[in-house]
Amino acid sequence: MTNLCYVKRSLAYFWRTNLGVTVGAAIATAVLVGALVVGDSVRYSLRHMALQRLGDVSLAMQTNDRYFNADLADRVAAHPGATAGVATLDLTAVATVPGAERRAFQVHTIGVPHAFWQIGGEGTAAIELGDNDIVLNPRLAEQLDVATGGTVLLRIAKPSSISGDIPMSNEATNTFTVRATVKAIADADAFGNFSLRAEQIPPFNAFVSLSLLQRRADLAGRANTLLLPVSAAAADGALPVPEDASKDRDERLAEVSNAAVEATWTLPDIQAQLRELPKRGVIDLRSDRVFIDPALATGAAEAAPGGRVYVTYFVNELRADGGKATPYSMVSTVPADSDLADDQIVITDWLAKDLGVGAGDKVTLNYSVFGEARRLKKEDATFTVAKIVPDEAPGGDRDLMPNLPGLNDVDDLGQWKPPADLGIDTKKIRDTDEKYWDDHRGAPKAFVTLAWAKAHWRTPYGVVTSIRWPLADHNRDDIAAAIRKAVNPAQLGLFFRPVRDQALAASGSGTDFGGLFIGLSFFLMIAALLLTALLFAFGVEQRSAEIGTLLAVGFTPRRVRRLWLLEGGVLATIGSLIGLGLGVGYTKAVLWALRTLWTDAVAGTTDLRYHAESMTLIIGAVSGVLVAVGTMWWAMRKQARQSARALLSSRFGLETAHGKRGKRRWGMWIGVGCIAGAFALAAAMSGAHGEELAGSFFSAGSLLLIGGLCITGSLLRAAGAGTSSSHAATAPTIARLGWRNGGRRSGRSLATVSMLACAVFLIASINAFRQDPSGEALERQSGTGGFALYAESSLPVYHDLNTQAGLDQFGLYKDDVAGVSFVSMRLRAGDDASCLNLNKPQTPPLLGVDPAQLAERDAFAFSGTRGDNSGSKPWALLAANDAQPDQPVPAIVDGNAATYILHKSIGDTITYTDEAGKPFDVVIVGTLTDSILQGRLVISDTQFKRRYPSLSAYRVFLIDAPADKVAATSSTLERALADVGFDAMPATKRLAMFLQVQNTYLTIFGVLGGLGLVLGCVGLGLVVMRNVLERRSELALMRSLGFRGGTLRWLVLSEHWALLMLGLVCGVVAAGIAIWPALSAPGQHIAVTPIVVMLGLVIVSGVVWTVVATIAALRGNLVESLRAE
Amino acid sequence: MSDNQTPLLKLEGVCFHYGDDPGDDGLVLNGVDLVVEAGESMAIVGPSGSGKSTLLNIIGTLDRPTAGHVWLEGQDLATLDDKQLAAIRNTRIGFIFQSHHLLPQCTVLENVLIPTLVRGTTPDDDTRARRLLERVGLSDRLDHRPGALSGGQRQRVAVVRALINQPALLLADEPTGSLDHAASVNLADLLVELNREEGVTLITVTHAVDLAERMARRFELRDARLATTNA
Repeated sequence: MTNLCYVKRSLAYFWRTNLGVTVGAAIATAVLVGALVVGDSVRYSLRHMALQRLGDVSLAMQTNDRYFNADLADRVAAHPGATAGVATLDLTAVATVPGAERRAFQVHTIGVPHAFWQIGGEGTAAIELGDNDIVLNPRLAEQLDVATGGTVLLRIAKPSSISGDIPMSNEATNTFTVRATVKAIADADAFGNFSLRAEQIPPFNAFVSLSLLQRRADLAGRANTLLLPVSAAAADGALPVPEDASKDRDERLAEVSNAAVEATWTLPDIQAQLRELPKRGVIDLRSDRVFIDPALATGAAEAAPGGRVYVTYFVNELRADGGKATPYSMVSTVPADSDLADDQIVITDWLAKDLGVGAGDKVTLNYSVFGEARRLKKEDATFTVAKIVPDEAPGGDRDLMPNLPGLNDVDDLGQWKPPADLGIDTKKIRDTDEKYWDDHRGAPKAFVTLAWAKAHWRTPYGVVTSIRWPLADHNRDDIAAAIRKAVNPAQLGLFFRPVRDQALAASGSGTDFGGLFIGLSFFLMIAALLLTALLFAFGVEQRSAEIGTLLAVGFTPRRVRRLWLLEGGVLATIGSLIGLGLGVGYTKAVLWALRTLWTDAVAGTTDLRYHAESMTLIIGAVSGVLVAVGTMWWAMRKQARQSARALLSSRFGLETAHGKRGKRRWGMWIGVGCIAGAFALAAAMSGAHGEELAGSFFSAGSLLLIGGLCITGSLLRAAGAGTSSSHAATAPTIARLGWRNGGRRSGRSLATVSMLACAVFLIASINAFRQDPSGEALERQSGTGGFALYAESSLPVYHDLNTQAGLDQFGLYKDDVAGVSFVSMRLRAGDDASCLNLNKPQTPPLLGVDPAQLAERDAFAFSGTRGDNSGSKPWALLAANDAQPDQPVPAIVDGNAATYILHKSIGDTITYTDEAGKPFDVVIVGTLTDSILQGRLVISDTQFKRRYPSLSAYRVFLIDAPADKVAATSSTLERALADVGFDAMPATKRLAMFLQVQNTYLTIFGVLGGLGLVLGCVGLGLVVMRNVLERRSELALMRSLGFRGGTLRWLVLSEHWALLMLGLVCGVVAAGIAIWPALSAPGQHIAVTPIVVMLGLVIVSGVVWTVVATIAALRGNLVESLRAE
Repeated sequence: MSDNQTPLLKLEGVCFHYGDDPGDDGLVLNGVDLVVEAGESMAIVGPSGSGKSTLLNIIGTLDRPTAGHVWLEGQDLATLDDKQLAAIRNTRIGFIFQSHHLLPQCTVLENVLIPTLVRGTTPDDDTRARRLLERVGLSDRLDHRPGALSGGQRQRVAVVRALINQPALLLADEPTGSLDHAASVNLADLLVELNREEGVTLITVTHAVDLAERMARRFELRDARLATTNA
């Protein structure tokens, strides 16, 4: 005889009970395994999508609006260990189909060479693109409703070497159009969804020939993205960098490739030029971007000795005290070691004559500094003339004039068509000015100190316009080499990121759907475990005499428990193995539902594939066994405490409840107290709003539920003890007898009522948290911020739309937008950090906003702020470090996105890299409650421009509009700003998009919880059967006294239906309080139908199972039971 | 094991009452004294509810007295913890209940060997079980389940189970209570013979006069006190 033999015998002999326990364990395991495998499947699908969108690409260099020479790819490839890359030109466009209404915004127009398709991964077919060809990805084709052979128009932002924010650039020329015929629709397998963003929703992709796009964008030979596939050397592990366990292959490949960039980059790659000017006797460094990047300027000035820094600036006017004025001139700087004071100026002969001034006279400069949105601020500065020098004297030549588009190339100043924003009055240009232009072009007419110029003419894009070295001391190649040595190209955007590593990390660490579905399937799992516990407990009760015998023959209680848990463990293991198989089916069912019914929960991701890791299955199965065994231990803990004598007694477990009067009274008083508390709380918080109101009423509902259950318990104990006055005073009826029977096993009855009540309450009341944005749409303290519209533009908008100049730019009249105002924001793109992105975003997009505009509107509700600013104007926190460039940049972010997507809280930081390749920290200082700004980090405009001066224009707009003109305003703006791809939507619609994810989770919780509740009703049926079997002889006695079979069935049913109804009533009343705010608020629409259906299912299921159990338990000859007794 | 001076079992002033109130209502045993030598056989009789089974449970360590002391083989049972008491039940005491309490899922042989599971069943246990079952005339029923046996056969299996670990004390609680007359006589014969052959001390609680008279000493439990009836 062995323990195993004993267990085997028991398993076989009590197979009916054991089968039930096994089924319960199997269902629990299936739900657990299913939830975990859903997590695996989502992760696998995201990883699959990430690999599809990247093809073979391992590293990428993205320089955005900086355009390097495309042959950088070849130079890098020639470096040992590096690999041949593919340079592409990526520009943003608005796509339309001629003659059709449909359009697509934010279209990635990618100019690709033939080699692009070769890095698309296995099986990607190369597509030869002619000048008239375009390839679309399925999402864009679907959006435009266009097929192969169709025509597509792309309006593309024309790249400019000068920031669009600088009024010297001519915005009118900033777009161009490409018209092409769709050659193919490239799906995900054909590399059509190529993207460097960690998002599972593919972008709108349009592929055109690289050479075509370069020509049309005036960027011949240039690119802004360099893609590197894994090199053969890297794949073989033969990289020329030391093996380092802390770095993976792609990180080491990035090291090699960045070293290759450092070794091979040239000044043209950063749009800078080094010219020999023999006439001037200098080597001259300048930038196509007008201002030399600060990192380059600093490095270059120190790279070789003798370098002289110039700041040459366009001034509106030079004015003498006597009133004479010279318009539109260049003013430059004298060497830093000159003895000129900051309030002195050197002027040329020409200017001295023109103004009629000499040394010692005063000259006033009128110049413009850059303000917001191409606005200029005019300022004056007065100097004393220190010296008069010849025209174009050494160090004051015409070559100092920066390359200003539209001006440098004109032969005659009269031909110049200055941008309107520059405020140039060409009528002021005199013949003498034309003569100067003919003779000296843009040679400076005056010179101030470098220190003064740097202090007053600094722009977000730099201040230095030229650096010169004496030709006598240097040659150009030496200077170029010295600059390349002194300057790190990464600071100018020339560096590779391990995009593959980042994509895989993002796909693996996003929303944990495994954990999420464990939460959502919670009730189903609990119901299955309760079923397991119930059946196991019944089995233990059935065999209580056996336990008593074992104790009597010398087994310790601990040993008995171990023996039984061994038996339970075998059942749990068998159940768990069956559950594994069921779990796979459950996963597939859930994935099907996610692809079809619950698609909002996965942000419309329909490409979800089944995948299970073996470790997940093992963890699921083992957890299933442990949870089931734990449940069994819990179920038998009562029997384990009984004495052998009690267990050997045949009457064990049949005692009538003897609730003490004091305990019953306490229960009643606690119940009454809870109910009073619930109504008091509801009354006190009826004036609250939003989640506070929902939370208060949920708490009130919970209190009511606890109160109801306390009173139910008290009544049941009273019924069991037979002390209720109603019983004593009136003659017994079958229903009363049934109620009294319910009290005999008051613990079991209360557990049944509690389970039903809690489940009904939670599943129904969870709807209180279902959100409908229309309710508080116009309130400032809501998720819309009180804004009527949210808009984004595909192409930059450089003007402030609140100004007449801004409206003029798009042909709008004031009447068109009466009562409309805009909060315009700059955008630095990044991985979407909203709940619509299932990946973990690496660097979320940044929005730059003027905090004062949101503060004065008191827009959006804050869920938290750093420090004690919650009561004041939290938006002001954004500007806290505006004057301290070295401090972290304060940011405000949506609270849910921070918690669930970014896994960050207030005070946490995220590291970004600025335009100059310099890392900086963004610190979260505030969180918003469910807002339309979800997915982005909002920082101050000042900080934004400091970090990303090139991303100068506005791309995101929050729009206030009169309530009755929202739709009209939207269509007016979309029509007027069509060229920049202005896409407006009601703010409530955008909020609903985010809330829909949360609402879908609630739906899933309700559906799975409802299934759990139905399973719970099976448990109710088992309780009925157990109760009847325990009292079979008693019922037989009643039969022998003349009761008919139907009467006895009614006796049993009335007892258990009373429990069912008690559970439902407690749960429904409590849930009613919890969801009252949502039911009564205007504009709120609670989905009542699913609740009613769920309750109906519970009632039907409960009735069916109790009837089945009653009939099963009462069949056969009852009187035989009496004889046996 | 008891030596020559130490009785196998000694009860001194044993009291027991149910519930919290030690008043007369719940008092079952009131100052019971008893000395039993090794190898003796004795019967305790008394009306229903007089406390016979309670006394047997206290002797068998299934209950603890509310007052007084019980010594088994010279060891004060009050000084032992539950684990030690379980060990004593397993090795020094054998129980026979009115209802046989055989495990329905196990065979006759397995039921007999159940007590040996505590320390691990040895081949000697198996040999002894078979010998004892042969002794009680059940050698052809080794692989039968209890459900396939008559009431008398089940009770004989229960007796063998009680003897498997060679206990010093055999406690029988109404062993013939659920048997017909013939089976009762057979079981009484068996108990008396085993008492003699195995040298095991036998205390039986019974209503059956026939069985009581087969015991060497007889006591009656009345009004919570134990009195000899041998005279």
